[in-house]
Amino acid sequence: MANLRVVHYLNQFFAGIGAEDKADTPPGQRSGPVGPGRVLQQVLGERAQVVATVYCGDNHVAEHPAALDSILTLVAEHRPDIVVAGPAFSAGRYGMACGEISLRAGERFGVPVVTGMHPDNAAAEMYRTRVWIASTGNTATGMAPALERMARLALKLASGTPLGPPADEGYLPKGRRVFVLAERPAAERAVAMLLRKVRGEPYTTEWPVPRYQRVTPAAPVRDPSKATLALVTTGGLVPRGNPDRLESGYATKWLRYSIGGEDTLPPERWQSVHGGFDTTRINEDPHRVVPLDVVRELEREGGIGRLHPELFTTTGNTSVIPTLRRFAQEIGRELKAAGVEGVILTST
Amino acid sequence: MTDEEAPSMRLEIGSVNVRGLDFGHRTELADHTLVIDHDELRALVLDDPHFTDVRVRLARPGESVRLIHTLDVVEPRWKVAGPGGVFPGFVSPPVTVGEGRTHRLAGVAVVEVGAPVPGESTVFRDRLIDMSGPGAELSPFGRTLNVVLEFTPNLALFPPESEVMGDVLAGTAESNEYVRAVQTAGLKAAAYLGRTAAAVAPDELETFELGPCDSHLPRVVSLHQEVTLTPFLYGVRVSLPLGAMIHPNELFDGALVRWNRGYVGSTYWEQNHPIVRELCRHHGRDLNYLGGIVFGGVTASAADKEASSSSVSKMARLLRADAALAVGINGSNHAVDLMLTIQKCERAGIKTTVVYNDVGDGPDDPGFIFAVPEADAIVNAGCRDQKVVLPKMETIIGGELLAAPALDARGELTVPMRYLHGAIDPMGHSRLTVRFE
Repeated sequence: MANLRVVHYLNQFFAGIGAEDKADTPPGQRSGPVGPGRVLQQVLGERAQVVATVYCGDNHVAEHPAALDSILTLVAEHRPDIVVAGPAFSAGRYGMACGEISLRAGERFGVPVVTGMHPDNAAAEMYRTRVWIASTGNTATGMAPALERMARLALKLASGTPLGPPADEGYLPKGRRVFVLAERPAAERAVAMLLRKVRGEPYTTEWPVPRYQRVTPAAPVRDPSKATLALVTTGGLVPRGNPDRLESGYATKWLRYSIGGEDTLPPERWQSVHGGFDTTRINEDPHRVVPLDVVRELEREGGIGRLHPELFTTTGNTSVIPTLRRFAQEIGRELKAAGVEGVILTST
Repeated sequence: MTDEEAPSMRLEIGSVNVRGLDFGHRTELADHTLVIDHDELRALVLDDPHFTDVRVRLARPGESVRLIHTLDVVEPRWKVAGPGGVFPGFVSPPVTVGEGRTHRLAGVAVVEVGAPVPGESTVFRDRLIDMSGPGAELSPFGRTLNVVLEFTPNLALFPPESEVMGDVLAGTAESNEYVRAVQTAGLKAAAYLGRTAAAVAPDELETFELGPCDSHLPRVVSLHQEVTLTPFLYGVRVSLPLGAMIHPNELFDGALVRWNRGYVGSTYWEQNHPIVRELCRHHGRDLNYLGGIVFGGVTASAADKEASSSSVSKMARLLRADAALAVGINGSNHAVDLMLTIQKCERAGIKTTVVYNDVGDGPDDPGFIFAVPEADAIVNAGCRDQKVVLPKMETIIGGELLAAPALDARGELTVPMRYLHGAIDPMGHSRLTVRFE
């Protein structure tokens, strides 16, 4: 395998343009390796050559969505066999740029792309399932080992060699589940782990708890008396008899029902099919989970502008997170398209 | 009173290895084969107005048989010596058990089978057992000699309108009464069959006793989370958000009976609890096992969850535990109760380890409903959503369609791992685990 062409992405600082005062630098390029790129070239050895360095200021890329297209166009000019971005260590904006460029470069060029960052970098959690991210230290003092790891991963991916487990290869877990048989039953492993922990000896969890993605709340509705509000629930409220077979748990769908002409949700016509709590009280009075009655009152009093004429509903019970995230995005798009400015979301 | 003065509960478990299962003229254990008088067992179960019929069928490892609508699974046992009997509160008086000697039919299981009755909740109800193929390798009950009780309900007990559920999760009062009857029948059958081992010399004898031990050993308590649909403790079905103490030997005598729904657990695993047995075997060697706290229940509000986790962690502190080993139920609101309990234990200086099922699907799903950073020692006991392809079986027992969704069980079937009875229960018997790459 002779001389793979590598294009390296750096921010303005590592490209030698300047520090924070140069963070508005637009995308540009240099031929051959620059700064850390020289170390990258060393660790790549003879199998690959850093043919070009593409750079951009951290603020510029964060503030101009079009900058990403420009960066990828510059990368494309050099017909890369491999793209390397960063490493970004703990840097937030740089990490986001490396993640997004890696993701798009992989999709667009179909070649191996590797970036590097510290596991606590917010971009790591955002991109790790879709991008190969080498686990690095906190700061640039760890530059050489980070690049060594990235180069090894890139060359391995380029040669089609299957990668081993994350801990052995030094990349952040991509979230792929491998179903295996452990050497010993769970009971024996658990007692052994507990004994190590209580004795103060080193122990390793088989399953690290996640760092959750946080959703930034939208700004408050400016003037509710002029706003359109919608009712959305994960409480499993459906027309009695559940005509569309909404599941009691492990929901596979969300549903919408017209409430345009309705002032109330009488129990003869509505019920909850949620299978995660005692639904008796809701089935006596469905307003306990979808407060249509009081929202109508508010509408009449002028407290809110208008109620959106559809109720969106699903069952939030034992569902997996990607499914619920998809429901939220789909319902969100519908609401936005309908000009809804605020939502009363009732969960259970 | 100090540990040294306290009289300890001592229980011998005699295992009789059973290698064959057949019908015959008399129920007995003959040369490691369990012979069952079909009519006598049927009459025993039918002595209950809830059933108009019951079919007793045998399912052995290697047969092309699929059991669907399976409910609880119970191991036949009989109390040979000591106070009380097996399954207290159901087939013997509800007095404290766990002392003396109990014999078990190792390798045999009683499996209850029945489609849902009117008004019965079908949430989390579908579980099945294949006696051959990949399903049999994954589910421990594909490798036991199974005495299957297939019930026909007395529908006169379900008047019109009685199928209307106020609470989708719990089902109607009529259906709950019926399910209890099914559970009782399974336990009666298990005791009836267990009795055949009463006078047989066991192949193995193991003694369980939490006797006095070196005061320097770490003091360990086990925490047993139960699903929302509460279990029966000594026949009493009561929600246990605040926890209840249990001695391991009580489990071995069947004091804790699993409500037979919820994807997780069975009475069989309480009787043979792998984590409890492992802790008993380490007792006095490298740890001091203090006993278990059973907890869980409907904790609908944040206040209930605070109360539950506070109470359970307080009980561990009262026992002066250094460490707690939790059997956790992931998914839904149990996950919050468990994690808060772990957090409160850790903050009180009690080191925790949890055996837990992955409930995630897809790389973006970490598999936790809720987690606290203190949960840093987790044993992954397999993934509930791992897809399993089960080939067609020649014989289906229990019906043709699964309950919800109504998948056709007669052909090849692709189901999540949670459908395979006992395959990944967090009681710790399984080696199935998940590695994240």
